Amino acid sequence: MLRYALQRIIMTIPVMAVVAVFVFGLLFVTPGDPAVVIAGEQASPAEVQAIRVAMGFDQPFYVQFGLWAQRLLSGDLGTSVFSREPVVELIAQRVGPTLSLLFGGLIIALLLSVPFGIYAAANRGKLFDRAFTAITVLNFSIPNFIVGYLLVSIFALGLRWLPVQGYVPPDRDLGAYLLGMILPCLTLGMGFASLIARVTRASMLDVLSQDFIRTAKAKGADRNRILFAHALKNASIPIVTIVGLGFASLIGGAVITESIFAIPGLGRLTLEAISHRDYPVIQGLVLVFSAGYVLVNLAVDLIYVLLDPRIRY
Amino acid sequence: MATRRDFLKSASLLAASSAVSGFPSWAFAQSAGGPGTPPGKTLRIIGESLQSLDPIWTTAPPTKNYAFMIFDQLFAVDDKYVSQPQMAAGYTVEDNGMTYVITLRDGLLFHDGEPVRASDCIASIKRWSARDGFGRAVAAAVGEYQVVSDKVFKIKLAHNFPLLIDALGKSNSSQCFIMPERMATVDPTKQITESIGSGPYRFLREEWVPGSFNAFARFDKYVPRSEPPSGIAGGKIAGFERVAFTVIDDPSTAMSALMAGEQDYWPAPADDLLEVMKGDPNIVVSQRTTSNSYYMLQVNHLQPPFNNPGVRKALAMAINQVELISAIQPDPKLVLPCYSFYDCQSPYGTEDNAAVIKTADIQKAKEALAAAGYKGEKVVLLAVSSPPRLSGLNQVLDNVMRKLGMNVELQAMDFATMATRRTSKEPVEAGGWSGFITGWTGGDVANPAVNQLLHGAGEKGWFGWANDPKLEALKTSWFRSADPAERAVIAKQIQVQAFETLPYIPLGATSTYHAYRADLKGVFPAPVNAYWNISKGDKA
Repeated sequence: MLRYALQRIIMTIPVMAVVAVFVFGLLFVTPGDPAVVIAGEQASPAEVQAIRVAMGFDQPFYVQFGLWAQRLLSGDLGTSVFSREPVVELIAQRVGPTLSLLFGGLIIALLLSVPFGIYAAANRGKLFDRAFTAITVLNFSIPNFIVGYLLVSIFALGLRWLPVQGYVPPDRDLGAYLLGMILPCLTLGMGFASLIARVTRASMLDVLSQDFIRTAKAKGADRNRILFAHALKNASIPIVTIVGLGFASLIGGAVITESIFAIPGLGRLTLEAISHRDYPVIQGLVLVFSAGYVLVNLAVDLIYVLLDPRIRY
Repeated sequence: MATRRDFLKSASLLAASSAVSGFPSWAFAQSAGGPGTPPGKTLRIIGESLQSLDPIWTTAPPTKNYAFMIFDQLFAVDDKYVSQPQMAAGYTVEDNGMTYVITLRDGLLFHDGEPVRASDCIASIKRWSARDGFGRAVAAAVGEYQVVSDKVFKIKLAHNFPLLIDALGKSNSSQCFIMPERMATVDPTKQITESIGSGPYRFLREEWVPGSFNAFARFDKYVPRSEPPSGIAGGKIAGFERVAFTVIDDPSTAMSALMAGEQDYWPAPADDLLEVMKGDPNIVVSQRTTSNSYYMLQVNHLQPPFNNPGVRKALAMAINQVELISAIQPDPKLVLPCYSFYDCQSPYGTEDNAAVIKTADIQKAKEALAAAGYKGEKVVLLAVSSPPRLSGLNQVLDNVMRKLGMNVELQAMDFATMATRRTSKEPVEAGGWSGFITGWTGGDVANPAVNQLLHGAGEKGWFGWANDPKLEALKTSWFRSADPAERAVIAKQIQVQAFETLPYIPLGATSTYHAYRADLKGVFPAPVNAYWNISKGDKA
């Protein structure tokens, strides 16, 4: 399995290279000129051109890409056009809040979804199952920014239990960090929870209708053993798949959640960089996100093997 | 149909009412002023995204706000927009107006402990005057700079330029901030990355998260002037140990943070949330800024149909400023029609020859458009989708143009795209444009020196490239005149001429409220976001 993991990691290199070329090319043809944004309203065309030359934006595509790729190979993602801060540092500043949000959201989604999905499947057609179906559909239909505003209204402004916004790094104040992450993680995780819960229920129902479950029941296995030892393990592959796919979509949700709760994460950095045409930052972020997607997919594949030893690559 | 905004307002009202009605709560104490910040010693401001530390390299408003915290100016405008000595102790004019001798105040220090010297000031003026519009007029007028001593320097003019002190003290767009000579000698098209000024606060570089958070600490060695604050002139007292700016993109969250006491000051509250905040006794909503926001339609004079003065005139006749501004400003008190090419609060803000934009009659405008020979040429409106006010204005103007019978195409885009597109002088079929709406502060349009759009310099001038030699000649006369009364007369003549040729179409003005916690004291009227002289105490 280690060999397989290494192979997959090595295979990401050409994928990342293709992504890098594609993104660089896309940005090159995107309308908008950072030199114009920098120069401001009063600048003459000559001043704009002077800035363009000073920043190297007047060079042809292959020269700009070559210089960027050369730096990239030495681990340098370049420097922000605007802040003049290294892109690596900008990403490092922001990656902690985003990871906190993503994993927090994922944990909340799993905690809310899997137990209820299993319970609904075990009580198919009963009141709980019907309520579960209605609630998950409703919850999945509500955009997460609305969930966020409602949570802020109730828990921050109304009850004053939690802060409205902001991010405190855990190494500075763990308590403030945890309190501050509750609402954002709930906001991000709740919609995702509905999706996982539905898949959990459906997958469990599928497994529970199979012969080996009937056999286990006939042999007198108790309900919990049937549900958790026999059924859940076999139902896990679709659940892991949807968690893996959904984790990628969580990154999109994180952009909105970060904006609502003023969390200084990668999502907001991406929006800022795009609006300013800060090309080095955009390129660095796309590479990081691409690497994230690849790693999540890799993790999902490896978990498959753990869950079902029959799966081989 | 209920909109997202409606929902936000409802949610906010619900929250506000629950908070006010004594909802059981565990008071959540949070200092958003940054880690380790003693609450009460930090002014916590809902800020904008600070990306660059060079106020000469870029005119981005967050950089301007940053610059006013850490830098100081030789001169600064008072509440009547008159330049007053700030870092300068004073100045004298010699050689029949051809030499200015400026003396620095005692005790001026940069944040690295070095004294502010005459050579720093000269280098700073040179760098600023290479980039700023008014500054370029200074550069063209200056013959020589001369250091007399560490505290005294001379500016010798090559030709008469009575507006020198006004230029050095200007508060709009790019200001003449004084930096150490080593920073000021950096090519103005390249960005300085040091943050050493001589203002009342120093920048905490190590805490800066570009686009998200930035903070300042009081500069203990700053020596303020003794006069009370007036505009951005007068004494600047650093009332807090720290000032922390947190970027909160979402207006509803920003309002909630202010109402919950997590933030102290919101300089740019969303117009549609003001009523909610006005209902909170802990929040003051006031019209602090002395400079209104002016909106204009810049038309392209090089391409049809707006290369035809008659078409420009017809469109101007169709626009109803009150209706237009009302569409973006829910508070009728802040709907400010202004039938002038100048800031209507400024001495030049008269309505001379303004009949064309006061017509506001679609039928008459249609007749004028037909008389002008409009043949259905395509009109491409470059419409930025943010900020919301500009987006709203674009949509309403698009509707006015359609009612007028114009073949208009509104193209929505972000600012970066628009800023590139508007440089094109090509026909609309080849990627060109016909018009775009732009917004400026009152300070930016207060007189012919600062109003970049009010020109007739053709392709050498601002976008739109209006060509009006008579207007340019009048502007030159205005610059050269040393007599304020004569300048006022020429300014009026400039406006009369501008309404004949319409280099751009004024669309009216509005203002902006500031919202802040009621326990802040000393918030004073200013044309920029000034955070000195403010302190915290009992409710104001």
